[in-house]
Amino acid sequence: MIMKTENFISIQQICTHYKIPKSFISALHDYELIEIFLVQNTACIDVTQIKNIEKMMRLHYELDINFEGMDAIFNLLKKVESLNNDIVELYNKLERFDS
Amino acid sequence: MAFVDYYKILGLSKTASENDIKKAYRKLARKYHPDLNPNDKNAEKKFKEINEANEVLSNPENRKKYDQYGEHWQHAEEYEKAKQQNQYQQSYQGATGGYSEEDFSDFFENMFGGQSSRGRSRQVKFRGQDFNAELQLNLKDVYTTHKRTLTVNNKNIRITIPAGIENGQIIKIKGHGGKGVNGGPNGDLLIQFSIVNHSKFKRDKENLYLTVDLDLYKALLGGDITVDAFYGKVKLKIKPETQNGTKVKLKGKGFPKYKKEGQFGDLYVTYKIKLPTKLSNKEKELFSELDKLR
Repeated sequence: MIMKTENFISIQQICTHYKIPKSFISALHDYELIEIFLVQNTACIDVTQIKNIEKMMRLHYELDINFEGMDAIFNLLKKVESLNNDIVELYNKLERFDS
Repeated sequence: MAFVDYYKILGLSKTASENDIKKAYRKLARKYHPDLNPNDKNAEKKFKEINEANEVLSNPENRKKYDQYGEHWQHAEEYEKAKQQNQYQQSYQGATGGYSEEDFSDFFENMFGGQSSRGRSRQVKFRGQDFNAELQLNLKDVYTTHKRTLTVNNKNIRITIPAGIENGQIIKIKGHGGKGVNGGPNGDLLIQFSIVNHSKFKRDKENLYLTVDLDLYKALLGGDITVDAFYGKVKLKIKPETQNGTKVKLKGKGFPKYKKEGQFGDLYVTYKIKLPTKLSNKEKELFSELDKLR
């Protein structure tokens, strides 16, 4: 797989920018909430993960939710999203039978 | 402008300690935070109230002013000059995502001024926040791919709406959300489509369903009828002795398939046989004869 370096941002940059400790990113990785890549010997994350990292920062720092809680929340949010999609699909199907 | 009871919003008494405020805010924020309630407008509204209450009550100076003037806050203008920007810093001062900083109540803006006077000094965000919008269209509108200009935050955005988009479907317009700061990317604009169907067709994805009345004689003896497809008319051959509820499939006469140019679903026509009413004596006689024959 060819990795484009511009799609990655170093963990150092992320931590400096958001003023968060590296241990936070490391814990997210330990809990398999994010993926870390080694690009030119630098630990990086894919930029598409930034949105989720920001969300996890809010959950952790603003709402005091620990890493286990965030893991559970992310799984449940995925389920909620999938259920919401099912509801919309079923609602659209149901319209067929409404007179 | 109505008085806003921040203590009531957080479920606290006026004697609540700083710790009580923090605890109450966190408890309610965990319930209503937009990150935990995606696309829930009620939760978002509630969270804004909670956030505003916390902004005031967690800042000792603002709380003092609020406590002092309360319902008589309109006379608090002289305090404006005395307002100090709180220098409180925390290691994480970040994105607010999901809810807008601009949505403080008029009451808050009047009593505590604009963003600069708020307790927290917000810092840079890497990525702008996502904007959510809803676009209502008629079923007819989404039969063809077309362009439309939307106004989002006073900016015109021209988007292409692909034919066959579904009711409730969300499309993401990359980079048209909140502005990113410090060279960071903008957020996205998420448009949810609400498709209103005033037609006689029922839709399930790319298939359309239509019920057509068929008179008794045509159902018994067969013949030709013309039915409306979504666009244009279709001639159908009715087989003799067609039963009530018979369904026929008209291939390719349905709705366009989403993002599959030139491909269409099917149209299902169900026949509903209408029995004649107000029979004449002659008709009754003839039906009796038919009855005897069976």
